[in-house]
Amino acid sequence: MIKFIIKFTLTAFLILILTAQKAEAVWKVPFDVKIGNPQNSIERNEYYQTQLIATKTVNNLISAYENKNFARFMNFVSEDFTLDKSILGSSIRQDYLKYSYIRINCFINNVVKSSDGKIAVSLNYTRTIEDRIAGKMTSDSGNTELILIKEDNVYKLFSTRKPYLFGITGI
Amino acid sequence: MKRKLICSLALCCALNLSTRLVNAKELDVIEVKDLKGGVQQIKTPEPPKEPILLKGKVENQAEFHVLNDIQLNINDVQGPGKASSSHTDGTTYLENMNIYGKGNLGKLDYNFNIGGKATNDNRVELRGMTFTSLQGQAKYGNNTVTGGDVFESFSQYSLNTTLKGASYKYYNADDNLPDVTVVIGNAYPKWENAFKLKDYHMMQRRAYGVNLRHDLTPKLNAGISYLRSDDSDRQADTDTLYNNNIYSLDYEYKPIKGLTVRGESAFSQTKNQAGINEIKHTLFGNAHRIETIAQGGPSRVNLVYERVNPKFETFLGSASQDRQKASAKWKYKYNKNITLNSGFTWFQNSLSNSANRNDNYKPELGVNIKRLFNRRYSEADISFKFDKRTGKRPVNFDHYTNLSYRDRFGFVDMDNNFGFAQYRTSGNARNTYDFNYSTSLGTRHNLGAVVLKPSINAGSNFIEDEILNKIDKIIEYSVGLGMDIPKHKITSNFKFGQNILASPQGDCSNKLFTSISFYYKPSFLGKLNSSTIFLRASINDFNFETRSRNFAEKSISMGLNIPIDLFVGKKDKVERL
Repeated sequence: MIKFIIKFTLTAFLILILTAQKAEAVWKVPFDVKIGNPQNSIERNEYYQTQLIATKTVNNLISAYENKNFARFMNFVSEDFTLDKSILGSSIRQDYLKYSYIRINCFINNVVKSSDGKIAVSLNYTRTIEDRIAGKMTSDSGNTELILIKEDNVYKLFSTRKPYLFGITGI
Repeated sequence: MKRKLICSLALCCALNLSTRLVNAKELDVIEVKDLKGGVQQIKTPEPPKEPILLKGKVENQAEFHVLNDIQLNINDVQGPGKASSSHTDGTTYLENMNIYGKGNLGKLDYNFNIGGKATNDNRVELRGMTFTSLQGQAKYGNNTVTGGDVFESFSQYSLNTTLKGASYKYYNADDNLPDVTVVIGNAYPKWENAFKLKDYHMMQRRAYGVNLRHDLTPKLNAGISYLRSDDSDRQADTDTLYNNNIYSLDYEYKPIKGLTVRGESAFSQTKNQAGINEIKHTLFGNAHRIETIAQGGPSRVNLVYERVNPKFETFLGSASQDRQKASAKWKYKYNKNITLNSGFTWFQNSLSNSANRNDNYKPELGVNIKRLFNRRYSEADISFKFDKRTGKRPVNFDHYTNLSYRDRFGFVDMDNNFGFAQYRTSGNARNTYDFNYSTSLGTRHNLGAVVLKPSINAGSNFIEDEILNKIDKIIEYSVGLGMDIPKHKITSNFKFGQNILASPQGDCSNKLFTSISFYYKPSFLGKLNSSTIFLRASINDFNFETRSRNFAEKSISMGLNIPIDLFVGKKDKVERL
């Protein structure tokens, strides 16, 4: 385990050092590397910002869905949701009727922003649900993609691909 | 002829270079040196006031960021029903590293993101080390080239997902040329699928397409797209592979202020490369959507019509196949505190098969009231929704009523929800009532250097099934206490909760949850003092009436999150920053 961590860390730092050396060769100018520069902190990097926004939005959606807070969940769904917001809403209510307990653990793999501002989030999830009628608790896992769009200055769910993370009973 | 052309080009370049050199010495006289060494002096009527060429000089610089998040998880799952747990029993680790970079080489701007994770938890990933992100972008003037993880959103029906590949985009807001986007790539969810690694083999769906977008008039914007996807690498004999072409036109028209008409029409041609026991066929389908948005004064009206043919296939876009839908929404702001929302949605499935066809009607009405009873933080929502499905199949008639009220009493924030729903299906197949209530109370207190954030959440569902003559009760509550010490950059939270399912005919359950989390940004790490050390622990106990389903989870996670920022560039530039 430790071997894996060390290998991965070393590989990443090697890439960084090689990139820096390449940069020095290209510029041929007095060269400086500054670590921990507050003016250029990671918070200002666009990729990082996009990942933070995506993580926050996905967490909000999952938290509201798990807590069966229908109104809050629907607040994080865009009016332009591609498979229809009203139809998704009915499906969410059917989920709440069928399942007495819902928990989702997710790991965000990949976040990509399009030129028109949409954000695609690819994630791995593990979902534990208790079927109230069958009286059975099951756990499943998979990979899916959510598309987010900015609406009223907040990122919301715009589209989702199968397998559906929300609206399990069918959109 | 060729030699003459080269000479003329060389002369032009030489003249240009010499002009730049001399121009810097004396601004009102331009000395032009020719190739033979002669000098011509040209006096300009008005010398340029600023050295324009120097003004345009761009300094090369770059910044890199490494974010390394490493955690160790120790899980203990016990009990006969442990297979239902979402935790992996034993000790696992998870490292997630991302390298971000951006900078410029002259006028070429670039940025990239490389990410990977390492784990020994099979629920997180099948392989020990995997790539999560590989994306890079280079921009030169109006041209942008992107490689790796590419997300080009052509339109809803044609392309609306990520690809592993490359794209090129030409965009200039000032010229009269259309914006052009060309994309090629494979629709794989992970890089390991693209590398065809063991355990990651899957069907390949290669896509390539082009999108042209143009402002035809100041009021009309239109885009046309072509996208082709070809499947290969069948994993099982029964798998069906497709070749799909999509031609799409989308538009947005704003004839007058407050009125927008937008929509899309797409046509698909789909051929299947039939698997075993399948017949080859080619399908031609179409999908159309038109939306009108009218906004004026206190009203906003939204009308949508959509029809997706049963034979329309989009593998990389988004559409509900075999569905026809119309909806109308009206939002009316009566005054600054009262807003009315109303809507009606109708949709029909199974368009080509009258035996399975059904119609769905969903009228809804809601009102939002702020400053109710003249209370500053109060907000109430009341909504009604009907959901009726008719057709050859049994008729469903569901309706939902929801009331919610948020307010602040003294230093306590409160959020209450009450809902009532009835689910009814003809032929006495279903007649269920659902009463649900939830409340949450939270507050925040500053006690010197410590901030306390206690909270209580409680909710219940009573589901009465009149056909089975039973009432299922679901009760869930949790008590939490957040404690922050901003001076020492400490954030922590404790939570205890319970979820109970009491069912006279099903399998009753009782689940207990306890969790604690602690985050600390130590200052002794010097330049790495943005790092966070964290510790999380939880105990979950799941008890069922059928004891063979019982299990308990104990979990401890500890880790470190280290961001490293590097700036690379000229020394003076760094100092100036």
